[in-house]
Parts: sequence; C-alpha cells; structure tokens
Amino acid sequence: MFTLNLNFSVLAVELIFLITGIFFFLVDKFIKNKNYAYYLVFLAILLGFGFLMFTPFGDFTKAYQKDFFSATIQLFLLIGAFLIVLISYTFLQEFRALNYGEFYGLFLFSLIGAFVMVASQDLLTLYLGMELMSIPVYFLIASNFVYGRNSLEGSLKYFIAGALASAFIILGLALVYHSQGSLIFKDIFTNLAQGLNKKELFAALILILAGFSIKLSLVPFHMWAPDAYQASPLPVTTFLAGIVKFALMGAFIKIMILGFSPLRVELGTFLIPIALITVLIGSLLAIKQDNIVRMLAYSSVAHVGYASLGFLSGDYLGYGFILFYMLIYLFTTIGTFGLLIYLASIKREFLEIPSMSGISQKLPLVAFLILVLFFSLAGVPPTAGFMAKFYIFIMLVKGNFIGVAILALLFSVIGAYPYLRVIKVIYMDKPLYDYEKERYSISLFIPIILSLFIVLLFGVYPKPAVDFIQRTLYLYMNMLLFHT
Amino acid sequence: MVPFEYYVILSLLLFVIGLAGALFRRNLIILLASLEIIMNALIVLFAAISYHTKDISGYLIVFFLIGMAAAEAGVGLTLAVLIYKKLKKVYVDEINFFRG
Repeated sequence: MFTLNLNFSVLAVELIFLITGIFFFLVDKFIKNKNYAYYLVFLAILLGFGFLMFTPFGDFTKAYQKDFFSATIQLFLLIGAFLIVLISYTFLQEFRALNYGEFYGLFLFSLIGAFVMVASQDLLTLYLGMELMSIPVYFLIASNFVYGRNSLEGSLKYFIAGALASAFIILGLALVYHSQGSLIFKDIFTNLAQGLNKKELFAALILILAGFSIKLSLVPFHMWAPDAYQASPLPVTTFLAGIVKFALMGAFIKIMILGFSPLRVELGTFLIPIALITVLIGSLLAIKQDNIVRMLAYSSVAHVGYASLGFLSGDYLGYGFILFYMLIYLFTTIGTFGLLIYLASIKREFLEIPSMSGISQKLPLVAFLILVLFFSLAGVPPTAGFMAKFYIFIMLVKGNFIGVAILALLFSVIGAYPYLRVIKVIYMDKPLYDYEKERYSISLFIPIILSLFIVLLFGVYPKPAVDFIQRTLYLYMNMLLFHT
Repeated sequence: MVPFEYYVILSLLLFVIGLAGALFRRNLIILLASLEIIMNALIVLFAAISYHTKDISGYLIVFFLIGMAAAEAGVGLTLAVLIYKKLKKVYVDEINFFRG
C-alpha cells in the first residue's frame, strides 16, 4: 500500500492552460472583440514559462513526473507554441471567420496533451496524453471548412488514421499488461533486464511503434499527412508539423529510455528499412507537388525519416541528436510557415509554386528569408539543418551503419531538389502578378526573424544546444540508474 | 468458467472484423461503427485479462478506454454530420478532392 502523492505544484503549467482553455469555451460567446483571446493566451504562456522554470521537480501520483528530460522538452514545446501563437494572431486578422476564442482554447488543450505525454510514467498516461493532443487538432483542421469545404476531408483522413493508431497502441498495451501485470515503465524495464518475456514485449513494442509511426507519418502510413496539412489553416499546419511531431518523438524516446531500453538494438535493426524508405518516398513525392504546403508536408515526412535514423545505433547520444534535429526542424517550420502566412495575406495564389515566380523583385526581404530557411531544410552548410543532419550521419558512421549513411546521403541529394526548385522559381523567373506590398506586422516577423537567427546561429555554432540536450539526457540517465 | 483463450479469440476476431470494416467499407457511418467495434474488442480483452489474473488495474483501464471510445465517437459523428451537410456525401470513395 502506498500513499498517493498529490503534488499540484508540479502540474501548475497544465492547470493554467486548462483553466484558460475552459475560460475561452465558457466566455467567448459574450465578448464582441475577439482579440482578447490572443492577449490572454499570451499571458497564460508567459505565466507557464515562469512556472515551468521555477517550480521544483517531483511526482504527481505515480503517473506523471516532472524531471530533467520532461522539463527540457516542455520548455522547447512552450517556446514553439509561443511563436506559433504569435504568427497565428496575424493569420486570424486576415481570416476573420476563424478568429474565435475556441481556436486558442483547442490549441491550449492540445498543448496540455503534449505536456502530459512527455512527462508520463506509464503507458496508459502516455496514451491518454496522446489522444488529448490529437483530438483538438481534428477540430482545428475541420474548422477551416469556412474557407475551403474540402478541409473536412483532410480532417476525416487524419481522424481515421489516428483512431487506427490508437487501436494498435492499445493492442500493444494489452500485450504488455498481460505479460507484466502492470503498465509502469520501471516494471517493464526490471522484467526486461532480467530477460523475462522478451518476445511478448518486443511484439508489444512493435505494435506501439506502429501506432507512433501512423501519428509520425513514417512510410507505410504516411498517406494522411499531405491531405491533413493542406486542409488545415496555416498555423495549425505549423503546430502539426512542428510541435506534435516533436512531442511524439520525445515521448517515444522516453519509452525507449525508461521502459524498453534493453530492446533498443533490436528496434534499431527493425527501423533501418522503414527510416530509409521514409526518407526516399518523402523526397521523391515532394518533387512533383505544385502546392507549397503539400510539398512541405512531404518534406516533413522525409524529415521525420532522417530523425528516426538516430534510433538505429541504439546509442543514447543518437537519441539526443534526434531531439536536436526535431528542435531545428521546429524552428525552421515556424519560420517557413510564418513567411507563407505573409505571402497568403498578399495573394492567396502565392501558395502555388508556379505563381510564386519572381517575388524576389518586389519582396527582396521575404525572398531572402525563404532562401535561408529552405537551405536549412535542404541541409546546405551555413545553416542549422546541415548541422542536424551532420550529427545524425556521424552517429550512423559511429554505429557501423556506413551503407545506411551513404544511402541517406544520396536520398538527401534527391530531397534537396524541391527546395531548390522553389528558390529558382522565386529568383529567376518572370513575375506573373501585379500586387501591393503588405506591411510587415510585428507579431509575424518577430518569430520569423527569431527562427532565422536560431537557424543561422546553430548552423555556425551548434555546441550550446547540443551540449544542453546531451547533458540533460546524461543527467537524467544518472538520476535514473543511481537514484531510485 | 469460460477459459481465458476463448476471450482472447473473441476479442481478436472482433478486432479483425473492425479493422476489415474500417479499411474496406465505403459508408462513413459503417466506418465509424467499425472503429467502435475495434475499441470494444480491446475493452473485452482488458476486462478478460483483469478477470483472469485477479488484478484490479485492468478494470480501471477499461473505464479510461470507454471514455476514449466515447470521445472518438463524438469527434467522428461530428465530422460525419459536417461532411453530409457541406459536401452532401456519405461514401468514403466519393470524398477524394486531395490526391497524389
């Protein structure tokens, strides 16, 4: 018999977001000027920063633990969410029919789910956090039907894929529960370290991986991704590509470190073909897309493939580099979609690649920003995207996967084509339209400039971020092994 | 007393039926019903494991899963109603605006 440890100060950030979100749902109908929601979310996230930095670590019952790992990932998620809230303000000024408090409320609920997921201590809490993260996103995607009725279709596809993913994950949970009698990560680790039930637990891990790869859009299950990305409003696409994928990667790394870590070499061998095919398919299908959001969706499939290459060596250093990769991808995505929001506010047709031709003549600043961010996505040296790929490939070479590293390098050459095509269209083609410049709004360009700064800084000097992440993992492992 | 294997066979059968329905049927409502069948199969599985290992936490998981199944049904039916209202379509293969 143990006593329940109801330490609410650990949950402070989630509680703030929960109260703010519920407040939107209750009050939004009675307020005429809808911009209040933006300021309130701004305040809630700033408060969240304060509580995340200054509340002590600890447990909430046995299901939720705030520790080095989860607090670090939550900090990154919160920074990303802050920037996305900033860019969605400008977007909602343009697309007024979406400008309701509920938009931000669903956003915050989804963020709570991501926080719960990365801090969970057993598989059930992880699953519930995952559902809480994805269910508001279905609504956010479907809310775009005011502007394009077909966005319902993208939402439906994402919903069906998500429901099947959760079914597979629960099947894995049932296997774990049958062979272990509990779903807590530490019990799984104890049994695996003693060599008990290895086959059952490996099957369960594969089922859980299947669920995660549907949500992460690894290749056999990537078909929903481009439709859902193209259907959703642009800030929600950013959320889906940046934050949801980052949180899912963080949670999967947590499963691998805490629960299934004796199986990580087997998992690496299992993932080799999946990761390589994901990179190849994502790069190839991105080539023939004309809609830029759809192109970026396929490129996000490829990027998750690159990040999951870090699992192959089964080394904890590789896991740290996965987090670094997803962090860089998060910032690059925010910058890119911020620029797309600016272009869409000038003319809706600018979301098609052929009609973007020649915008460098009237909008040289925007063209230059697109150039730098797309170089980062393609992995050209002075940017952070190159450093992230470099570290992943270094881990592959270190783990004696030289063939895989060479193949991934070749695929990344293919994957550079779609980005370079956009840059060629922007800089070298004749302009098609005549249009007026929009003014550069502050809340849109602060996140863009910040992400550009981060991309350039970590491209030249990545050591602080990498050291921060690796030291977090190292400290976390030490606390885990020697402290319990 | 019914042996444990029978419950496992029942729930896996239901799971496969639900999966086949979700993958191959064209009607939107039947698709949602198939997703419900999958969730119910898993609920039966958890309850059976919990009953046969005399462990209480499986029953607890069952309650969480019922809640999740209800939430999923809510989202799915909302989307189905919206799709019927806006697109006038109920068959999945007619909803094919995005491709490639």
